[in-house]
Amino acid sequence: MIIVNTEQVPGYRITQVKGLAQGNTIRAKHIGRDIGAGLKNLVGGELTGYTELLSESREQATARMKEVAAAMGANAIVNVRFTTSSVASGAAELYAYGTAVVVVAEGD
Amino acid sequence: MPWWASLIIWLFVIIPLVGVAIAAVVAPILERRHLVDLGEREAAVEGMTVHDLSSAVVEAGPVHPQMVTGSAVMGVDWWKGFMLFLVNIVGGDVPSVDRVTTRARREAILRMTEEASALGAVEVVNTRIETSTITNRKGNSGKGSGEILVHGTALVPR
Repeated sequence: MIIVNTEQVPGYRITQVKGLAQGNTIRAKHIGRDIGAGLKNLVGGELTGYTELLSESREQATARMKEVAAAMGANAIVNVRFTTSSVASGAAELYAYGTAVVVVAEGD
Repeated sequence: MPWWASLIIWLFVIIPLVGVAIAAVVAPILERRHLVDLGEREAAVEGMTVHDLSSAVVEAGPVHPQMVTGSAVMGVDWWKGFMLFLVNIVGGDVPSVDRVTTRARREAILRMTEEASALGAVEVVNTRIETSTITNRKGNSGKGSGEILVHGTALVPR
């Protein structure tokens, strides 16, 4: 599965558009991470616990989007966008969406 | 003084002030160390072309595209938070706090570039930089921290 955030796939030709593929996940941070981040925040700098949590969630949202696209019979997702929002206090929603397409390598 | 009055003074005056004082000393050291680290890592991936155009600018023959991402969550230390509180009274810009977002953005872009570099990419196209606030509005731990997400398409020669 090719995943890109451009409208075209460089080096490939889009032959078919399957539709919108999306995936989301809502994650709450556990209290230990909250306390850790709170202590780290005293001196500033990167809050590693949150960075990790968010990248894990993003991977999960992307994986779900991939599954949806694969079920549609697509072999690539173009124009992928991410949105992040806090839906409840302490929980973040990660949402990934893109257009599922079928591509063939140029020259084939 | 009743016991609860001293408790209030401890909780809302002494502990915060000690925190601000610790942050005022430690935060600039950590910040400088981070900037040095950023500079070194940026120099290591200097050959990579990163831009936000939608098509390739580097002539590299047939390529295989792959999405790369980078993110960073940076917190505003208590000293800067205190300065922010003071500036809030009279208004104006807060240079010490905008340095935090600048660092977070550099870090996120760098992580994306490093991921692309590890794949053997020649360039990263269509880079998008997004900022979001993900932590809760009430708790202190979330105060002033936001996430920077950078994503782009790495072009790896086939």
